Parts: sequence; structure tokens; C-alpha cells
Amino acid sequence: MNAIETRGLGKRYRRTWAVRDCDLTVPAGQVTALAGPNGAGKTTLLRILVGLTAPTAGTATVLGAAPGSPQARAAVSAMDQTVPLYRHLRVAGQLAAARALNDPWDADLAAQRLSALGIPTSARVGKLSGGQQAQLALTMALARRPRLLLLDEPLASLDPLARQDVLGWLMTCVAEDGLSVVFSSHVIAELEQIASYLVVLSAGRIQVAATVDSLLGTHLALTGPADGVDDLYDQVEIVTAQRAGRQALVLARTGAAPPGWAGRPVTMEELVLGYLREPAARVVPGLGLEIVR
Amino acid sequence: MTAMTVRMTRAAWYKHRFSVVGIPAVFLLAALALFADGVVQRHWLSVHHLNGCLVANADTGGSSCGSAAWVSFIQPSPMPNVIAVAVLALPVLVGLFAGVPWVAREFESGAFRFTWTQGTSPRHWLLGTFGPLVLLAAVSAAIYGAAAYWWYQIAQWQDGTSIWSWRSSSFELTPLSIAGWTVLAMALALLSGVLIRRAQPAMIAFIVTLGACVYLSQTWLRPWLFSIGPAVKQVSTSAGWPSSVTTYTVQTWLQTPSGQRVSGLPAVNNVSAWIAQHHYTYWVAYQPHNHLIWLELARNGILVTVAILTVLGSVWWLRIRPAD
Repeated sequence: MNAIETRGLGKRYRRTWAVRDCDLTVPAGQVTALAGPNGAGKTTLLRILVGLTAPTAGTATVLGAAPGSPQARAAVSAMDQTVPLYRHLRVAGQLAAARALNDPWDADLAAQRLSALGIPTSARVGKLSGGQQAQLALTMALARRPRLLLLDEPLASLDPLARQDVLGWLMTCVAEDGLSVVFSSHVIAELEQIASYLVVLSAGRIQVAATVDSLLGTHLALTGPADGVDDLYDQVEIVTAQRAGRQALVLARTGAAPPGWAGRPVTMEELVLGYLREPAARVVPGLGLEIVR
Repeated sequence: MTAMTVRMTRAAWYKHRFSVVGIPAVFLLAALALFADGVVQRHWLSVHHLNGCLVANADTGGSSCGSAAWVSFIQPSPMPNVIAVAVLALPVLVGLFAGVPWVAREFESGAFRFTWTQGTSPRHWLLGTFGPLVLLAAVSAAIYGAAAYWWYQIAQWQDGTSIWSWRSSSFELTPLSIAGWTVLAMALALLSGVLIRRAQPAMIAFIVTLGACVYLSQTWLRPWLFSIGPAVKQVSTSAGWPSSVTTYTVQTWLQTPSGQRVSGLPAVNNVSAWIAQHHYTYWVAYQPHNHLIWLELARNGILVTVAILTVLGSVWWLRIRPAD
């Protein structure tokens, strides 16, 4: 079963499409990085998947169920980028309210996690630091024992140490419980540590959707003479090319560097940035790794 | 009680304990105040051996009791009616400050993104948390209404006003009516919050909507209900009339010997003679006292039905427009 499937999914706010023609299949058991610039539609897509927003067009399923349905609610947990909490309550009250809203609820997991983080249950939620609030929200999302976790910018308010801690914790949950995670973030370098599947969203459309291994294995960063870029288009599929003086840096879909060019493996950050610089280039899931201009 | 109901009641308690405690507390404190005032007034009458005046002068107030003490008890002033209006304002205030923010504040604070992405759907959350609150408010309002009804009897006597249960203020100051208005106020507050999603504009919309409902009830619904199924009897201009204390006159008319209705009495000196001369009969349609409770039930049943439809409408709207 796929964790996420969308067909022709679209969401329009007045005249603007936040998400459009979105065909996406994310296999279960993966940690999926959802990347894209501000306003790309990441939050809208996640809110549709969690059942907060109704799509204007198309369909979506999460773990085979319609978003917001009882089956989906039982299996999907989410953390919004706004870190919504009952800020007037104490942490203990917030946990109690969450427990009342969920069945099952892993109270031990929540208590142990908050204790390990040093977050006192007697503190007012609104008085916690932004990072502590994010940790509390994430803890509650996982205490629901979901099969799919949708996280919208969960690392934004965390310091580097806390980020590493959260990523490690998520990896443990994935390894131990077979949890599927969809993870939206601007911090692409950190996504690379845990993501096995990459989705790049640009201007409301899916630009890239494939496994990280297949993407990194089929793309190279090429450096060579700037005046050779035009000839290079005949030899390899170029995603984007940047010229700096006499040198050019090219992101290309190729297994080997052409003569006269030095090739090296790309990082996920380079890959994502390369595609974002060239919105016309897409890796269409239905056709395999094809670049469509 | 299902496990879901228990969990939702707990959720309401954790999130809204101020409202859960505050609503009954406000109603019960107000009831206590009215009860205490009523006890003081009745004690004063008892000390002066004037309890009998309340019964003897039910029709005309205290003016014919004759006792100097009784006369001093009567203090014609608008205060009882002012307080009666204030009593009726309490359900409005409860709806305004506890009902409207229930959902509107969820949207304003963004907390709905937590509440409505949990294992419980927004519909279940709304019905499961708001339902018990409305029930609690209705029971508290009924107790408050009982105290208000009891207090208003003696308040009218002190005002020198005749006691007439069909009067608008008497009709509204009953446990049933106050509970009915409280339930409707809470439902309209919920709808305002769900539709507008910002507390202050929703409060304004709530006041306007509830005001329209009160206006419709007073000018159309209550008179219409009072005209349904009256008793009819033949009377003379001087005798045979149903008691003006306990009944409500819907309509009077003259009837010709052939059974034709003639509306209005002629402007003559001796109406009885004129009626006898023309062989007319005089009729009255009226609501007997035992109809009052049924009409109260009907009116408040309509309020509760509108409230239920309003809540269902709110839930439906939340289902199709959960966030955006």
C-alpha cells in the first residue's frame, strides 16, 4: 500500500492555484522529503493530506483512505508548521487533552520523551520556548502511534543539536515501527540525512518525485568550460547550467562525465536547488526519470 | 454513555474548564440572588401577617388589601421589570462569552490545526464537547428560571402590578423559557463562530441573529401560538367572561341569529340592550389556564428544534469547510 496517492489534485484560493495537477505516489515505509521554495504549495498539500483543507480538484488518499476519514485519522498524525497547541494550558493539561482526543495514546512514550527533553509538565505551554513547543507537538504526534507522520517544517524552530536529536528519534521510529514520514523543510542538507524519497514542489506542481538513491545515482555535477555548455546539451540531459566567468557548473542527468568535463556525485541540496532553478525541468514519476521541458 | 462521549467530555474539561465551571456558576449565583431577594420580601410580608394579601389581591395587585403595611410594601417602580429584562439577558451573555468563542477562538489561535487533526473528527469534537456544555447550560438555566419565576411573582406584587401568567415577561420568566432561550443562544453562538471564525465579528453576528429571533418570537410566534386551539364560549357584555387573571382572550365577536360573524361592538350607550334588540350573541375565544403549559412547551420546543437544526448546520458547515 502506498502512503500517499494523489491524482489531478488541485487547490485554488480565489484565482490562485496553490497546488495544481498533482499526481504523486509515495510508497509506504519511506521517509519522504518534501522540498520547495516558499509558496510552492507544500503546506497546502500537507493540509489536504491531513484533512484540514478540501481539494478543489482531484483526489487524494493516505494509506488507502480519504484524508480526514476515520481510517485516515486513526493512521495519520500531523504537525503543522504553526505548531498549534493550547497555549493557555499547562503541558500536563495539553497532554491530557490530546489523550482525550485520541485512542490509542501512548502516554508512556510522551512522558519519557518530555522527561528526556527536560520539559516540565507543570509549565504553561505558552511559556515554553519555540523549540520546546515544537518538541511537545512532535511528541504528541508520535504518541498517537501513527503509521504515517506528516511534518510541516518541524525543524524550523530547533537549534542544531535539537534537530539532530529529532532526526535521530524519527529514524528510530521508522526503523522500529515501520513508520512512514513525510517531512517538509527548507533545510535540505538535514533532509538528506534521513530521506529515502524526494518530492520537489514548485509553483504548486510536482517537479520531482523519486527515490533519493535513484536521483543521486543518475545525476552528476559537471564542471567545465563555459563555452562548452551549448555543445553539452547534445550529449547529456541538462537540468540547469550556471556560468561563472570561464567555468560552468552543470547539473546533468547522466551516469558519466562527457570528455572535457569533470563530474562528481551531487548532494541532495544541489539536486533540489538545480531543479528549483529550472522549473521547466521535471522528473515525471509515471515515465521514469525523464526530463520534460 | 459511550467511551467517545466520556473522552470528549474530558477534552472539554481540559480545554474549557473556565466555561464548564463558569456557566453553571453564573446561573446559580444569579438564582441565589433572586432567591435571597424573594425570601426577604416574603419574610417581610410574613412578619406583617400580609401573606393573605398575595392571594386575595392576585388580580389587582396589593392596592385593595387595605393594610397600611401592605400599602407601604407596594413601591410602584420600573425596577422589577428592569430586573426581569436583566434576568433574561443572562442566556444572551452566556452565549456571547462562552458559546461564540468555543469555535471562533480555535480558528483565531490556530489551535484548530491541532484539534481537528487528532483521532477525533471535528464533528465528533464539536458535538462531544459542545453538546454537554449546552446540556449543562440548559439545566443551570432551568434552575435559574425556577428562581426567576418565583421571584417575579412577588416582584410584581411589590410593583402593584396584577399577576397575569400570559404577560410576555411572565411567559418568558419560567424555567422552560429560560432554558429554551439558553439552548438557542448557545446554538446561534456556535453557528456564528463556525461561520465567521473570528470572535468579535461573530459576537456581533450572534447578537443580531439572536435579537432577530427574540423579535420574531415576541411579535409573531407567541401571538400565533396563543391563537391556536382556543376554547370558545358565549358570554354577555357583563357576565360569563372567562377569568381575566388566568386566561388569555384571543378574540371576541358578535354573531347574528343566522350564525354570521359581526366584528366590533357598536358605539352605543347600552351595548347589552343593543345586542338583545338585534338578537345577536356575544362570543369569546380564549386560552384557558391549563393550555399555558402546553403553549410554553410548544414555544420552547420550537426554540430547541431551531437550536438543534442550527447545531446540525454548524456541524455540516465545519465538515465541508474544516479550515479554509
